Amino acid sequence: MNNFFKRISRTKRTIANDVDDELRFHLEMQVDAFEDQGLSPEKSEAMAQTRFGNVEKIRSECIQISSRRSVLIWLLNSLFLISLLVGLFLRVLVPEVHVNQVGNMLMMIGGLGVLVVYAKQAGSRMLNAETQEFRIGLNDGPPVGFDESGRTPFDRVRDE
Amino acid sequence: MKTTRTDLMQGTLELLILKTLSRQAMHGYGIAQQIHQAVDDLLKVEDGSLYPALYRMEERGWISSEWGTSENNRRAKYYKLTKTGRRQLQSQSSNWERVSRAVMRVLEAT
Repeated sequence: MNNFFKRISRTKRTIANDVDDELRFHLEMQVDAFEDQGLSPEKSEAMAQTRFGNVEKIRSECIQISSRRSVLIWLLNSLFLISLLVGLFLRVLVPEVHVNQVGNMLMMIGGLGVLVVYAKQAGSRMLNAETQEFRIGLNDGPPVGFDESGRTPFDRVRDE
Repeated sequence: MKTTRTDLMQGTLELLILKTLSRQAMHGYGIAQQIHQAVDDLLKVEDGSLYPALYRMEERGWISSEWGTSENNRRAKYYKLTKTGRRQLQSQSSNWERVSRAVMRVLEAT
């Protein structure tokens, strides 16, 4: 139950921040481990990245997995769909005018709700697309992977 | 002697993660280290590939996660096996044994 509330209270930003924190922690730990073995900070960063793989792709995949089955979205979707169907049932099959009006209202609430939920999901997909360009930095310094002149650690190691 | 590193087969990573977490709760980096040590560099496992697998496994209810403090006082996300995860580990392990026995039989026969 605790998990349920934890999941529905998570926003897109919270999900993205948690993923960033987790991946950053991994990269920082790996860099520290390489530095402990006597490698230079630059080489350690480069090797940590190589060992990790494509950070952007992994980040985006993690955010997508975390967001796609939000319990809240699922519940809302189900409720709105039920409302839409019940409204349709009342509108079509029950002849009384006042019941028809209730049906109309339920259909309107359900239809609007479904639209809003889908719009929010589309927003989440856009956020994921936006964050493709995000780079995870280590120790709040320059982003890992690129220096001021736009070279990757691989370029730096090759040039040394 | 040159060691050949083999790419991990589809679905195997989940089994390795389940097995690793069956010992104790761990953060992603710890899981990666344990797997690297266990496979002794024979299998090619990119550290990053662990995370989408961990997220999918959490979604399926095999593992649960909680933020905590790491051994060096940093904020880290710890994963632990759930009851469903334990059942999944048993089922995947026996499935793996069955498949590997079957493959070995074919290899020995030909």
